Amino acid sequence: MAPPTKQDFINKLRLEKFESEQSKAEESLALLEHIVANASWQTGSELLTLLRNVDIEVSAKLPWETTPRNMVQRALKIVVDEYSSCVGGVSAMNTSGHHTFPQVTMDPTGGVELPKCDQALPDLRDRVLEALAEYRAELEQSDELIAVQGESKIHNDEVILTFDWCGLVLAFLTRAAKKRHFHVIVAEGAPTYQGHRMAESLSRVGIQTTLIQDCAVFPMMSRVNKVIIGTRTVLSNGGIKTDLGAAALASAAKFYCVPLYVCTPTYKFSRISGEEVNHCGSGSAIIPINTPLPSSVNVAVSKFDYVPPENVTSFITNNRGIAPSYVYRHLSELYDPAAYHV
Amino acid sequence: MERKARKQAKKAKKKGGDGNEESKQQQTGKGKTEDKEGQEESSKPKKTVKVDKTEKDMKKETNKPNKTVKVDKVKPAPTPSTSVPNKKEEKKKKTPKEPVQEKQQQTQGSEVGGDEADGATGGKSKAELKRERREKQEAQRLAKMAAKTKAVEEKQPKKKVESQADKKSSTVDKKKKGSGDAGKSGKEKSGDKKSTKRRIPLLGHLTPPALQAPHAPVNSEIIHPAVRTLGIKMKDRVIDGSTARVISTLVALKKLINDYQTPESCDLSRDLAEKLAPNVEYLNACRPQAVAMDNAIRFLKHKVNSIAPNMPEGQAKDELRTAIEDYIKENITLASSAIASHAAYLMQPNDVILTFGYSGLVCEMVEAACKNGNIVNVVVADSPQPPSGLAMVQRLASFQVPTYYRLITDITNVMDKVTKVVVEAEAVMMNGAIQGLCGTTSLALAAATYHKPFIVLCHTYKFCNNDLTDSIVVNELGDADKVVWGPKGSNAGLLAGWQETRNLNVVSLVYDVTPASLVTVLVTEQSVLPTSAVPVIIRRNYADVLGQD
Repeated sequence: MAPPTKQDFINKLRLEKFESEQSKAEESLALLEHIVANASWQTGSELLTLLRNVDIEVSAKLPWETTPRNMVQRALKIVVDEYSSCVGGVSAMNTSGHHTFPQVTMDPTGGVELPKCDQALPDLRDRVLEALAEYRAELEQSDELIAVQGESKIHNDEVILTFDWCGLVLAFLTRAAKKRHFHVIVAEGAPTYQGHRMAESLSRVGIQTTLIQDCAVFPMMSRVNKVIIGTRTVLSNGGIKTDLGAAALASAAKFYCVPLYVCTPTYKFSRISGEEVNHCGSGSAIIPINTPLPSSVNVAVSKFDYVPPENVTSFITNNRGIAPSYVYRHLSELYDPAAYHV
Repeated sequence: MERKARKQAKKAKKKGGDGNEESKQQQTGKGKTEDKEGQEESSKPKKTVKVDKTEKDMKKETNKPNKTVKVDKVKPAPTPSTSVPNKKEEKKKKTPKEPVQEKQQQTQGSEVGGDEADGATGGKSKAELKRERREKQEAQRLAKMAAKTKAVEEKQPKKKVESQADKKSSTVDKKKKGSGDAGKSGKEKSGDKKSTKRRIPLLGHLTPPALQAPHAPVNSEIIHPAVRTLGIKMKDRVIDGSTARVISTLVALKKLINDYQTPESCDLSRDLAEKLAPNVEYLNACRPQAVAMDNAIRFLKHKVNSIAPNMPEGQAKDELRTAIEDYIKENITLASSAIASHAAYLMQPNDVILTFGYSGLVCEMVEAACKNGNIVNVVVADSPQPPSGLAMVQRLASFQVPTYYRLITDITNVMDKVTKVVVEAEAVMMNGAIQGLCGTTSLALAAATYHKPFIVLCHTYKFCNNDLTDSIVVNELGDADKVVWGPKGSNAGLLAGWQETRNLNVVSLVYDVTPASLVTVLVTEQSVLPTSAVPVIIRRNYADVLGQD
């Protein structure tokens, strides 16, 4: 297998060849491991710069792809931690100071300066690779860890609403279905219609499933006990950015006071906030074939939807549930505050 | 003898409970003397002493007047074992008085004891009589029970025959309830593999769409051909939208009235009403009636009923025809333009209006607004199945109005630029809830979230007396296959086998109900109203029509 390169990875992202966020995360981690293992660097700072270049390139070309950027951020944090523990006691100094209670800010006063890890340590490479391998193991287990929480969240005779395809939610519900008996309603999720795929998978596992149209989400919400969805990105303010239709779903859930759970592994927690970037898809996706429309009509379809944090009840992650208002603290555990490149 | 005693005892009771004991005593005494012809008892002191007992005995056991003889026999009489063959009324009378009687028996036991020997011979015959009576009563009671059980059995097989499918589903229900089904399982009926009528969970009370029109021969005398063609068109959704359906229904019924001839010796109003009923049922079977259609047909029925019996046929038919034409003209055509002008008055230049699907009223409003000089931009949100918004967009483009076409899931991304949300209603409920095509509630919710006014346009003839709080209780199921085959690309037809799959259901709802709290204002031909004015309008204009059932 050819060694992973940045360019290949970015092309693959651009052409949307990844099946899911999980595979993006795994491949980006592979790329980073490759860089750590094989690229020529001496000091920690050089390594940090190399890794951050990946982040810069991806954000320049595909700003909405947050998963690879999150992986880079995580790797940066790992390197800094390993460096500091290698040096022993003396923490890696950066110009803005290393706080015990780091603040996550959009525009760190330190600007784009990375923590200075100037000492050349021979075993840094190995230690970083080890830590990355641990992280990889954690990544692969995240599905399982989230699915296990299904039993405690769902009880018998519930009606659960979900929408669009999400492998995590599927695993979550499948696991719960082994012990509980409940009914799932799936919204089809135009224009991608991945909900059809979800409904088929759920019914194959033996769960009683009903597929409804997106416009029927509000009518059915009055009978729903819980809403469980996946997401593409978790924003730093606790909101989520995900496929079209989630905002309507979340508003309806709020109206009927139905709890909304988001199943997400930690690599989706991102440091961007708000819906700055919204990618537009092709308008022809929503016009049926052979329907002539006058050219004066403006047809477009967005790719993402933003759900504000007040509509989300909690995030179900690898180890525990997180409230939207607590996401900022979780971010500071995951990522190094000074290493963020806006 | 016995009957007289009973009657007298009853009279004694009626006259006054425990009031006039003397009169009672005399009466009972008389009754006893009459009864005791063949008996040797005549000791007055004993009678008087025992009168109380006997009174009570008489009251309790109207069948047994001759109980004064022996205390022994009196005693067992009120006990439950012997009272079983008696009527239930006696039991009830006995039980509260038993302790009192027992006391009296105890006090008078010694005196009575002497009577035993005397009454022995008479007692036997009495005992025999008693036994016979008891047997008769038993026989009668058993006969009654048998008759009852027969009647119940007869009813049960009928019920079974009529509703086998329901029973199957209900037994499946019970099984599922036993296995712990949804807490809201009152409505949940699972699809049984054997039953052809598959019911969807939570929506089991809604009938699936008709695949074929109900059977009716072409030259049927009952179903008029115009109604028949209309039914098929409605079933195939060629004619869609409440206004179009109402107009076409009334036109078809007008043809029916034209071709109608009163048979001799029949009242036109009654006969025509009878002739209309199967036609309306046929339309209902092709596709469940919209609320607006229901109101229009009620109006027609009301009109038919109010035709005087001595009116000549030609004149009656003329009257009905003009009534229908006037109804359409007033309530639909003129009302539409009034609504459009009222709503256009609410528009301001460069307003961005969000609307849903195809709506004739909204198009007219935009046209009127353009004539007034307010150019509005219109964003049409559309659900993928059925894509009625495309026709809307084409019509709007012909008005030279900047038009945008978006998916219903996409509206949150445009809401910050939208200034007003305008929608047409299929019906308005008495509590102010708006029934519209499935998807209008998403717009209402988005309007509420982003603090934009949600304006509903509706003709007043679509107001109805129901009160709906959610969209599931009263709804219509659309064609699920359109949902399955809707997507383009790899997801099309993925669920094509859903009807065979036990765990899978595909649902397409036609209507949804927006709660009144989300509606800012209602625009009708009368004026611009709040939703609380709906029952007022119904009472003022449509009470005679909608009040009838």
